[in-house]
Amino acid sequence: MRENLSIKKLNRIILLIVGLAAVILPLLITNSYRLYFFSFVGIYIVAASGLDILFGYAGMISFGHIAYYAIGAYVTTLLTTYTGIPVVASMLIAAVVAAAAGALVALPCSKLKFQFLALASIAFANFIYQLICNISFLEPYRGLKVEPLSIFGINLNSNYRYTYYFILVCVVIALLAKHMIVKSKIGRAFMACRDNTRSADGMGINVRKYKVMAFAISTFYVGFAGACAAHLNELVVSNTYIQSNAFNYVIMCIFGGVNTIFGPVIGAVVFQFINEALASATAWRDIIFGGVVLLFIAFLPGGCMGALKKLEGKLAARLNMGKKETAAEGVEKND
Amino acid sequence: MIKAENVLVQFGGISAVNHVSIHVRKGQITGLIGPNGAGKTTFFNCISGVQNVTEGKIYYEGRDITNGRGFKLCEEGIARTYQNINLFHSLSVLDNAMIGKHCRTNYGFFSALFGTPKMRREEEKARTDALEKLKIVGLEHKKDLRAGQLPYGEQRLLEIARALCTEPKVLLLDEPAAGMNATEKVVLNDLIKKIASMGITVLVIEHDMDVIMNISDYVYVMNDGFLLAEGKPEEVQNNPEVITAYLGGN
Amino acid sequence: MLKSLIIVGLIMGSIYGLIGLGYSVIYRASGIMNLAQGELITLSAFLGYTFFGVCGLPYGVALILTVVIMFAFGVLIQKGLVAKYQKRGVTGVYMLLITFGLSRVINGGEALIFGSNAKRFPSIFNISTVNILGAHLQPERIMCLFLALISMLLVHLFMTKTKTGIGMQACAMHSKAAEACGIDVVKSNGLTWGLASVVAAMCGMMLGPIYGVTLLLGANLSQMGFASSVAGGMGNIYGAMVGGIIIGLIESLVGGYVNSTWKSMIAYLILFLILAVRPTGLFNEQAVRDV
Repeated sequence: MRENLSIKKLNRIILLIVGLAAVILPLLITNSYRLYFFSFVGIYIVAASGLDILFGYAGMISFGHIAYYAIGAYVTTLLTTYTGIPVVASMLIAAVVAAAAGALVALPCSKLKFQFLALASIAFANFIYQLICNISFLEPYRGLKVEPLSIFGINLNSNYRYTYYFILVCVVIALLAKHMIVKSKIGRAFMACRDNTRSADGMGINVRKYKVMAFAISTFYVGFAGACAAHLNELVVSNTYIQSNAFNYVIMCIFGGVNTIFGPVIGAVVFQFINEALASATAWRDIIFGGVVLLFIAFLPGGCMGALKKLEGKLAARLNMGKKETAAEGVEKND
Repeated sequence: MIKAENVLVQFGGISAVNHVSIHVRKGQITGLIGPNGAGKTTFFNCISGVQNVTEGKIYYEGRDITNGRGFKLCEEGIARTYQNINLFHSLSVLDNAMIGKHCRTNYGFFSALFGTPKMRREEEKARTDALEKLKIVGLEHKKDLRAGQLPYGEQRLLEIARALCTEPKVLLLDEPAAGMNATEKVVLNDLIKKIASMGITVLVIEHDMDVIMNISDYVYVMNDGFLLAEGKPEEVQNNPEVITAYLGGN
Repeated sequence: MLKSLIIVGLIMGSIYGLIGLGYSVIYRASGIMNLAQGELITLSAFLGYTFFGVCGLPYGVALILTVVIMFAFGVLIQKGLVAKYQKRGVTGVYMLLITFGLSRVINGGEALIFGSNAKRFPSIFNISTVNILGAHLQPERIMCLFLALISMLLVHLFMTKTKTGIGMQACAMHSKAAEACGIDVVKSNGLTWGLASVVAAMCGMMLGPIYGVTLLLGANLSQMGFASSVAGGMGNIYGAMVGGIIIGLIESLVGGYVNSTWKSMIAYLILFLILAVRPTGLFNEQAVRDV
């Protein structure tokens, strides 16, 4: 028991250090592009966490989440431009609209097997992209100007340090909310549907309802991320929303580890760094990301978080050794 | 408690269940036996809402539940286990049991999101109850293992515990003794009797005569989709038709 | 106008159908939806360009070379990658992701080897257009129609008349039973991927001259191929052709009568609606529902 506690303590300490680092980070950076870059990492964390709710927890794949990212972005753009409501409120409305779109798509599509679900999501994302390209008042090629990110009339983008903190708060809220959802009966219902739809149904879980719900929650996250990105960039251009960009979220999830709170966080951070470092070497970027997917599925199906957890398990076993030999044996036997 | 009348299930012209009527009486253990391929599981699936019937009616506490949906029937108090184990393999034993508590845990999305006192109360209640059900089947000490790590016999017990968690009025057990050794079977027999003594009506499928004759109050025999015989265990045991079906069937 | 639109639609449809055939062959044999199929097409187009445009070999020779190389490449993918993953117990959605990862790696490899600039595939014929029933067509497009039909016919004959093809069909239906009948399932799976790659090679050799050889060639067109195989009923190799023609015709008619920039939007919308409303396609063979 005491050993388990110390592992828990260790986890807390690591979390605290990471949290502190995230808070201090912008104070050490003066380069405004870097601050912008780190803000974007935050946005990707929200989006990847959203996809993980769908993919990692509810076991449904989507290669089209970029569509909801686009919906979030354009809804908030139009709302702030034409109605003048506060940016944060408009971002939330945009996320709700994206979630509604996700639920509408999921109503028929949640019945599909994963291959066909993947295909339907690709088709939907392509449709949304083409739609954007064909609506001339959205200025698909030149881009549409968006209001800067602001709260109570204060323009946060005037100093990206403020933007960063705003997004950091959003990330913390998003992760907390995800934690609350997946630890509740709703999260358990998602995982039940993932593991075995038939017996989930037998256990009184309305499989359709929870699949649609997972889709809606997931697209809410992505829609919010999209809205946030639009206000951060102060510009929406159609080519941000091509379908193949949706694969990025999937890669982040695989890399960081699905079915965890911090997996997508690690995934998003590492992805963005690699992406940035290899911005001019797109061929190598493709090969690396493709290779990461191939290698991780073979050797680290749990992603980075899976590896960390295994390490932690070994550490716990070592701590337990000597004192609780019998218990350690029990664990090993059942592994 | 459950009354099936003239249930017919056809798969492309072939009748898997042929006009079968049974009556599961409240508080009793009812057995449904028959050789492999007799249509027992198909019939079971009709009662639990997995399989639609072609013809016939099924009543539960006097209400028509024909072709009802699985999760709704579960809410109404019909729980089941599966012949081919259908656990949530990647989840812990406790989580499996907690999922059984799903429809008895009463809080919504926003309660979960904000972690309201109601949600905490309900979760705590579900957790204690799930642990209690695990204790009944004797898996309490393994609550943190993954369900997939359990040995076969214990997976069957976990299925029963999970079904008990849904607080059923009727428990449908589909070949609970399959793949169990003699000692495990004895434990299982006691367990089923214990469940019945808790006031839960039990309908159990078996093709193992010994198990069912030991525990059942009333037995139905199926063969080739037809109902062959019914009666008290000792009556059925001595029924010449049943003996031929079994000896011929094996 | 209508007549020429229909002809254009039929030609595009037959190409889409052929692309879709590649998906269907693999899906039917192993239940895997191969997201790398589009990259195989791109790779074939680059190979064809290299042999025909750079080395100056005759088109027929370039075609055969590409087909042979792609066949070997397909078998290699199956043996060296897919089978290895299957042995590790990778199934379901992770298999889909494997094919996606593979497509990224192939795409990156193409960019490294061939460069990211668009290549102009030299014309195969001396004449620039042919007039058929009022439609002015590139002769390459007409060749496409014939090559697509011939490929279809060959695949059909191979699958139904040869012992290997029938064995492959048996493996697709029930691999254990096929194994019990003495069919070499491992070999058959390899052949399936080889066959799908050959189909991709044919597509690449046809599309290169029409669209020019770019890194996005396969990715863009393969989604239409996907659409056609779904429309026709995934896994049904004849359905893919019918589905392709339907999609091709819709695209061509929308392009002609409504707005040419809308045509791919409409095609995607139709694909989405088919999946939402009737996921089994026109000729449903396999259940695609989960719940």
